[in-house]
Amino acid sequence: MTEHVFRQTYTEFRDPLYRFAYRLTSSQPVAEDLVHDCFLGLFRGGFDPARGGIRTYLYAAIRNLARKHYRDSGREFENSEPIAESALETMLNRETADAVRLAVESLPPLQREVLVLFEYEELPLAEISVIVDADLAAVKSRIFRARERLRKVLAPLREVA
Amino acid sequence: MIEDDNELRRLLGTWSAPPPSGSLDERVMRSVRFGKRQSTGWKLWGALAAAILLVAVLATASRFKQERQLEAGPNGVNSLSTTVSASGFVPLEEGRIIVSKTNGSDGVN
Repeated sequence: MTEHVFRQTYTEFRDPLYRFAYRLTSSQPVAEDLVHDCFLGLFRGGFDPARGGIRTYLYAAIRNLARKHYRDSGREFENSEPIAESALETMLNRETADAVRLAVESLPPLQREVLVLFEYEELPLAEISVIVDADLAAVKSRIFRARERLRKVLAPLREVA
Repeated sequence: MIEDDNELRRLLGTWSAPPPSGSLDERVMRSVRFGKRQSTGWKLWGALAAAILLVAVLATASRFKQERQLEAGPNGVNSLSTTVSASGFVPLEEGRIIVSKTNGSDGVN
């Protein structure tokens, strides 16, 4: 990949990838690290056009780096424990944005990633299934369960609104 | 198809990611430039190492060839030989040991 093409790709995808990384990790420095490593991998020739589009590749790279981050920090991605709902309820008095952030953070990681890709990044389900390496039915199921949980946790805010 | 939930989406929309720090762009570009330089540097070092290896192999082969030629000698025979002239050698017809006594002392002839 030439530096010119790389710069164009970086300019186009930096913000969405950073947002995705941030919403997966809830940490600005970690999200920046993931974006940095993701683009470095792209520059070193990690992208194979035969295997899909550049956007899918980049989101999948961020997702895999986030999983690695979880593993390296001693947290299990698939089975990490969500925050207890009672703790969430006490926090719901905070600002709405904080409450939403906590609610999303409380999701199991596999639900969290598909929810972020679907609700925030507005990616099509087929592309999400490639990014998270799961079949379409599993993706739909995770989104359904994530939304159910969020509706329950954020119910007080919905009533106020 | 997943049904829309505009109310939930509106709530989710209240949580926005903070912008990345200004240093991210510089950091990525610096890494890319460094990676590029490193990559070029490795190519140069690789070519140099290959050239040195080739010269070493050729020098060893040449030296080996010279040694083989020295061992083979001018006629090209690949062995060392020692020759002794046996001209004038006459073997004893009947070898025998004679013990004799001379002037009070024993002697062996």
